Amino acid sequence: MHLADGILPPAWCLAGHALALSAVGLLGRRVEPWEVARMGMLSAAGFVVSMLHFPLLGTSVHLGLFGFTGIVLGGRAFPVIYTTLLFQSLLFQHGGLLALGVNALNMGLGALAAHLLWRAPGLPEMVRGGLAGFVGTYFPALLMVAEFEAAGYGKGFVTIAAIYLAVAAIEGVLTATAVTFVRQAKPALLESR
Amino acid sequence: MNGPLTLVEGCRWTRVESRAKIIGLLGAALAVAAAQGLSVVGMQLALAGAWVATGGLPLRWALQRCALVTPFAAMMAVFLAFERAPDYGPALVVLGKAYGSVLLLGMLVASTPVPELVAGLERLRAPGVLVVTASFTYRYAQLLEQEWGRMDRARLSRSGRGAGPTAWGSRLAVLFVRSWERGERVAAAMMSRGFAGRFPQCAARGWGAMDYGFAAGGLVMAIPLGWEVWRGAGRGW
Repeated sequence: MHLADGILPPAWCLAGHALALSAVGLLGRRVEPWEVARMGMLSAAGFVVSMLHFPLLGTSVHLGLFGFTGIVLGGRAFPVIYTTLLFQSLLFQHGGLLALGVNALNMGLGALAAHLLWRAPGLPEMVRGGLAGFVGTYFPALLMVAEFEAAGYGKGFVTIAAIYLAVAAIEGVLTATAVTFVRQAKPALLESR
Repeated sequence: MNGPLTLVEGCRWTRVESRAKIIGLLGAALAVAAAQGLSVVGMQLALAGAWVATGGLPLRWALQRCALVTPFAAMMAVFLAFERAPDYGPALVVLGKAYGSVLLLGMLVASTPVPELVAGLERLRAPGVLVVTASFTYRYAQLLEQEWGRMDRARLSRSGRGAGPTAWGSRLAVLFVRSWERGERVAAAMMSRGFAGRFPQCAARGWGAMDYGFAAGGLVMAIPLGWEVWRGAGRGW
């Protein structure tokens, strides 16, 4: 799901950077000093989780847990995801530096959508967690497919969207389980935002 | 996190100031991304290769970096080849651009320790929240990775088999809970030491000829692009 450099037109990448950095500034404004340590720690955890690869449908995918990050951090998830992606790009070539803005927008918006779903009333917590985990992964995948379509890469990405359906389902199950666990072990984590 | 694919010992560009490297290499990568014609991308790829070689980075390093991006870039190229057949130029252009960018930005990490890179971003006026979060991420990612390894060994010693989705979810939750608690302890300790939301930075050293030369690398990479525009070869791909 990480776009490499040279794939999208440079104007899109620059616009992506401008939008993503604005979002980082906006959603990271008035961060308290005590909050920064927590954000950094969760960014590090997200980075570690993203290194866990598992085989799926003949390819290798890794977890992102954007939905879970959105649930826990709300709007603050955006700067955290941006930082995680920066490190992934620098150290493991997961996504390019020029495309970092577009990648951060895709995945950060997924986390924000997940957070909104998590706060939706009327559904059991486990279901909301599962839906948030699913949307946190699938929404960025759909955005990426739309970007490829707009950039003229053809219809092959419908296949990618189908693969990510499976990844998003796995993330949904994991997020639902994680939310249930956290509710028992550390409920403050779910109520901080 | 400075493994074999990151900081490379003996790289000549280590001496260049981090801001100069960020400006020069990002500018160069932008010039590569903006290229349209196969011949121009080929020229830029050759220039990037020369830049890598001048820095004293080994061929093995370059191949490893390119291998990392190959699955994604090749997939894009295949999709494009089907879409634009029988014109396979666009597919090759995408591959060339991906490899060119990877070599250029790989040089940034190969020649700059992560803390210096973060300091460079701060001096270039990156948002403060980003800089501090990045500093914490760098500091604690290794610790959390080790923690995950310990959790994995503990799971194996108790169950001796692979984990199902429920166990995976719980383990991930434990990692986040521990990170959160550690974050609280770290925050409390830092606040007690007067942390006000940002780390103090050493004053940046002035730029020398090497720094200016490196920062101008983006312009050099834009020369083939200018040639492409001048020749009017930039239509389509």
